[in-house]
Amino acid sequence: MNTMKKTFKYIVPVLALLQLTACTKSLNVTPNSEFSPGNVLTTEPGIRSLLYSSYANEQLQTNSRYWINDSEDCTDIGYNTDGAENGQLIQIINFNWTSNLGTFSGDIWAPSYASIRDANGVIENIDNVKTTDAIKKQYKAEARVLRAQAYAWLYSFFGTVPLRTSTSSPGNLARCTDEQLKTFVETEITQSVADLPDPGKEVAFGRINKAIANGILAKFFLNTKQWQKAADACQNIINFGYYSLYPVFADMFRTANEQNREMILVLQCRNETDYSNWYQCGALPAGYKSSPQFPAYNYLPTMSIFATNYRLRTAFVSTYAPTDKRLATICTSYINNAGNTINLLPNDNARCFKYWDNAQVGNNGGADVPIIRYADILLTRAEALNELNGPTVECFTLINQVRSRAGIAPLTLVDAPTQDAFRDAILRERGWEFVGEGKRREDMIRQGKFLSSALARGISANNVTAGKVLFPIPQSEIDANKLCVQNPGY
Amino acid sequence: MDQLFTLSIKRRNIYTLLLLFLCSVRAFAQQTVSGTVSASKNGETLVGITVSIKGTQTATATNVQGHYSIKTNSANDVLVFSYVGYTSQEIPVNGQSTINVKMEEEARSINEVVVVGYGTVRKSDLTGAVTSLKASELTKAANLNVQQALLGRSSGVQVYQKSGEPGSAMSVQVRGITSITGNNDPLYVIDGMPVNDGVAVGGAAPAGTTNNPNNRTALSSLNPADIASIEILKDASATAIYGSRGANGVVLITTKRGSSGKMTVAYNVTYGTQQAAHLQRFMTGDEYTQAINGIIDLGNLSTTKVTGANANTDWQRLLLRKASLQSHDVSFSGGNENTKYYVSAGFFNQQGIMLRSGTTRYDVRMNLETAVKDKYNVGVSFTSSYTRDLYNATGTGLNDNGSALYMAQNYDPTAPVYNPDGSYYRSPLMSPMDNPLAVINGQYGVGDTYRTFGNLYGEYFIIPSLSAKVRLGADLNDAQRNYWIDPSTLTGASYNGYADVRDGKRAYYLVEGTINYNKSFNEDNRLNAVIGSTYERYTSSSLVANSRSFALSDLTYNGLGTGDNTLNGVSDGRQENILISYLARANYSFKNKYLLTGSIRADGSARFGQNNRFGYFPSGAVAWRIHEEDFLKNNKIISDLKLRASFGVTGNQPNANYIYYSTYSSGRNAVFNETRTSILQPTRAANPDLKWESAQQMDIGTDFALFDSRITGSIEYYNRKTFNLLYDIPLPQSTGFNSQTRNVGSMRNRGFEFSLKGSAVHSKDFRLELGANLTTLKNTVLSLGSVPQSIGGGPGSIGQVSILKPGYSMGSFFGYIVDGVWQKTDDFTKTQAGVRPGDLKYRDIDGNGVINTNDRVVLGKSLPDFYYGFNTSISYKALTLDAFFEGQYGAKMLNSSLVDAYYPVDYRRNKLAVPYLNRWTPTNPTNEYPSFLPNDVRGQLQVNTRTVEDASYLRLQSVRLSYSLPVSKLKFVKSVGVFATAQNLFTVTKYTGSDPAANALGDNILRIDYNTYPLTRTFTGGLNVQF
Repeated sequence: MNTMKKTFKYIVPVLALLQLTACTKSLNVTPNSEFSPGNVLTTEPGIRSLLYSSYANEQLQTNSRYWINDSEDCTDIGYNTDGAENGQLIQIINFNWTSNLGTFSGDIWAPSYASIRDANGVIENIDNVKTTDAIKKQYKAEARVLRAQAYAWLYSFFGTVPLRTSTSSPGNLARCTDEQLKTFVETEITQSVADLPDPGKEVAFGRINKAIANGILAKFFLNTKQWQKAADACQNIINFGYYSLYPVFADMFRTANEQNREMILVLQCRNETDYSNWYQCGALPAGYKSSPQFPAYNYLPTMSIFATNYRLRTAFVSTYAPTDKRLATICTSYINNAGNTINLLPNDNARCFKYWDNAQVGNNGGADVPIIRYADILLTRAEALNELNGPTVECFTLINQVRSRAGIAPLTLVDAPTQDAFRDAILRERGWEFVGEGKRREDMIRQGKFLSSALARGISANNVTAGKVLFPIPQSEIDANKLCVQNPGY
Repeated sequence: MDQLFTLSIKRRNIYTLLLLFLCSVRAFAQQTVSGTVSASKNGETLVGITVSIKGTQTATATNVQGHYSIKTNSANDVLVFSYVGYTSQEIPVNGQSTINVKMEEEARSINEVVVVGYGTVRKSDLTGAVTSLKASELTKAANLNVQQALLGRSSGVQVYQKSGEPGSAMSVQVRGITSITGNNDPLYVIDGMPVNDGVAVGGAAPAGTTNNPNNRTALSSLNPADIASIEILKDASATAIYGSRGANGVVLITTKRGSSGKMTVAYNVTYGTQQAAHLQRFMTGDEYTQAINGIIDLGNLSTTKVTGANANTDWQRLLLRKASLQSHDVSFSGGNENTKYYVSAGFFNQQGIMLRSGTTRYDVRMNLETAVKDKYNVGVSFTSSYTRDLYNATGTGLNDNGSALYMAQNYDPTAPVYNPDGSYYRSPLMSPMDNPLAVINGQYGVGDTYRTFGNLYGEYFIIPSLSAKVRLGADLNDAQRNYWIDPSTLTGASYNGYADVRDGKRAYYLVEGTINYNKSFNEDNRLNAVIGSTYERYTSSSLVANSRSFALSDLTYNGLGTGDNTLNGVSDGRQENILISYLARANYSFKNKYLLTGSIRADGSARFGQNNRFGYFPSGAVAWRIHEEDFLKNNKIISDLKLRASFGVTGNQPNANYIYYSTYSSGRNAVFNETRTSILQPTRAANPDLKWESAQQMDIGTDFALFDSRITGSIEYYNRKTFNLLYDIPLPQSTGFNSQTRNVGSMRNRGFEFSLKGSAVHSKDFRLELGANLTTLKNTVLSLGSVPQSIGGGPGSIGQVSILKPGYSMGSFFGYIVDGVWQKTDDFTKTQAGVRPGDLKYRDIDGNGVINTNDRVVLGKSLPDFYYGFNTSISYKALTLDAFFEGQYGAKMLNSSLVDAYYPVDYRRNKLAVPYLNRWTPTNPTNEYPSFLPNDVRGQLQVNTRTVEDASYLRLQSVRLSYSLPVSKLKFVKSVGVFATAQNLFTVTKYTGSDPAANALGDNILRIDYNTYPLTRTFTGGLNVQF
């Protein structure tokens, strides 16, 4: 006991006092499993990983279905019923969407700006990275094109937006002018093209090459009605001689034929969570077992069928020529579990079956979603040339490459004798060709038919107001960014 | 529940600490002394009074007649009569053979010692708002953890059981909500050591269905049978000594110690059975066929009609069972004058009422202390436990990501369970939902938690009034959670089996030094002071590995390494936080009437940047014991009266580490060449200027005792304002970030607390005791800085649910007002096209003829206006009946089953019976329920006055009948008690969902009943024996 007391007598008070003077320097704790900006922003692997993040933010494989439906259900081709997704899409269908609709911020606005953020990070820091000049040039060019592409997409949905070109730009930032945005997209891309690899020479499929840059430009010029520039950008791609139409229309979407020469830019999907295409789950009708139209498609019960139904309008599906080979991606009839054949053609109930994948796992399909394919480039040039000079011979040559692959009769001057007639022909052709690829909204708007077509479908005139050609800036942005003004009509 | 130390059948108060002092013992002829012990107040004889011979281990207790008999060794022996609640008496034997004693009842609330942070004070000297609960005052039932025992027991403390899942943590809030994004749970301190309440493995899981919203509380590793007392510190003068962790109140838990004397062995056993207390009624197959086909016909819908064989399957029932419950606790305690010990072991097993759920705990404890008064004091308090939790499919997502119960409630009731070949039947129309029974049997998790928690302390008294104390503590929490998704489920089949193993470790280390000064200068001046410092380190690490596509799936998650190696996944994480603190407190008492307390704590946290690391949290309090004044001293009615007031500042640190730090981390991969490539992205919008959230709390209260302390109670007013709220302020998403944690705005919680205890009847054989408490709460968000409002989203298909807006309470629901149902005779020109008779009539707030997000209003709040508890205890001789009620008033809850009914994800899914069987039809033009036809103009209107329901309730939480067997003549046993308990017997409420206290999302603020694991009704019986 005595020893213990003695020990205590000294140890306890000494410890208690020592404890009182505990060192506050030990409060410097660094995160063990996070990377410091110093390493990321000055090394080649670091900056490359940041560049990849800019790519990844533009690759919304799973949410691409919203991107597609947001762009088609407000047009003459798409329709939707049932399921939780219908809660949002019904507003797209009925033109009564508001700035609170989650898909605007979640699927378009936020990911585009996340990509811009990381592209800005690459552009700002690339000069300090210890690597070769060639690599610096290439990464910077990729980042500038990715950033321009994000702005082009944002412009298509929302009009002008805050133009952030630096990671340190203030939170409160006003929308730029129309001219500023157009100039930005054009100069950023045109200045970068020289530093990008030729098609097929890129490090990996999906990395930006000269053709992708031109493709983004071509689509942007087309939608902003800069016809000559659009036509030229398309010609640049054609001149590479690298791309061509895939011979069998329906087969170009199969996973086995991925990276075929028609695909200039695609959203690459894998049959695993977070990287997969879910469109087919929504396109499958309830109780689907098989369809004689799709003999190669081996549907398995482990493949999800969503409660929601991604449908195509009967009036649109009925316009296909019976011989059109593109019908091989449209499901109008299937056999259900009870063995009954169900006709999907009436009641706006046909389905787009471009993305089926026999290796689908649960929700997760692996079919890529095309963003820019060669057929689009051909039709873009045809449309631009028609707008410039009316239906010239080249216009017909271009559109007929696409029609010929579809197995339908070539378009002639008799069919489309005027600029207006050719414009209509192009719009019809684009519908047949690109349904399920999310291009209809911009096509309809560009050709001035977005609102009139909605009225013709019987959508209430109270809803179909002039301001609806733009989606509203997401309310979250309006609330947080004091200088950002909402689009008129919202 | 705890009757380990029950010595009496007349008093519920148990747990005696006998302090025997050595005195010289001389050999002498043995003599038997006997007598009767009675209460001086009413002459009633007292049972269970401990009679011991001072300085020896000889002791006995009075019997039912109040009689005792003890053999003495010496004429100089001194008998000690003691019992909780009575002043101990020492009577020298002096050769007497009969000693009758009248016991003076202690003015209990005055001389009781209460544990406060870093010390103890006499209850009479308390200046702050502290609820002190002895083990006997906790809810008596089979409890896994202490939170259950606290339910409704204290004013100012709201506890509710969010889920019936065994082991799930409950929501505990002391005086409302302090923080928006910071922590809102009180700080728990066990035997002087703060509990690290972070979970080692979170609820996230490989598939949505196996996600678990109910974290296991760290308190689950503490056996409630080991608890001696609980002190809940509520106002700032009491909690400021815990500084940055004191803003939400502090719960101090003291475990049992031994007492000197012969070894006491106690054994408790409980067995019980549980079943679902309430299930929502969904349509039967017949009702479903009729209702769904009726709707399809009325709307001429393309949905497939219900035809064919009807199996009338009650899917919910298939997932439920009658479940068992058992617990065994054994303890050994005793000691001598200097050294006391308490060791215990416990076993607790609760099957879940849903298949494949449940929890089992094995625990041991050792408390050892050796001390010489005013010299030194060394001890250890230590517990180690192993817990196995079974997690079934409890997801809170949509469709195939929902729980098994969600699928059961939604699944076609005409479908059979199995195919003729014995495999699970799957209705193609229910896709992507799987057969609910397949899900519950084939998608599950198993958790193992190993936790060791304890501290060593040594105190040396330099002089009797000055001591130095050191405490070393550690809390090691090692957990593993294994998931398996079997190929017999749809999800499992798509992966060909999926195994996921999550390993998590959390550690906490404490070094604490304090110097205590405790001195009575004279009769009028008493000072009690403490200064000290603490160093606390928190670490955590995690490792997740998963694998899929198994050639053979029989090994489930144990075969992790046997999947397709090319598909394996792995991730990990590691974090650390350090808290360095300095603290000081002084209590000064003048003339026993005027009490003064001051305290300050400085906390430095590694969660903040260089400039803002330290926060300072001062407090002060005064109290006036009016009863000690001459004009009240001999008052016949008022036996005690104290007024007190306090003010102080407490704090909160952010929930996450490194928020001030700008870093890069991995994220969703980029895909090139159809192959994933890893990326790095900014981890967060770092805020280097982040600082402490601080709460200023004012408290005014009075404690009183009336009629010889037959009635005691307190009334208080509290007002707590939180400043520099830690808030994830929404950033313009155009910056590439969604939010940044900043210090903005302020919030206030204020209200009154009332508590009252009384002894209504107090006769020889019959006693009636009553207790009640009630707390009012008004939470108001005062400011969010520059943010006008923030609208929050909901689970599943539910879009926006809640609003955070100055002027309104936290957890406010935001949605539409429904005025009824459109009838044929209504004027349809006043609404938008497409609205038909039978549709819900939403109120057009802005009168523009269109229902959209601009027509939303605040629909009520998740926090109640007031909550309450009351208990009665009736004893007749050895028989006691306890009943305990609790409830709340004025809280609202979103009922997701109603959302599914009004806004079906799919028209073919099953729905709630009442709305669908009473729906609007042309021949039943009701205003109660709509036609449930799909509506082209509905959009996301799910949150409205129909789906947000009043969750006020009154519940009979527990009833217990206990009987103390007359065993006083038996030598080998001290006491035997038997009891039967019923829990959750009935609930009075207007709420139509599963339970008005439920909250399946695991969020303690916003209340959403999302297919909640049903709460249970439990019947238990048991036995307490003491040797």
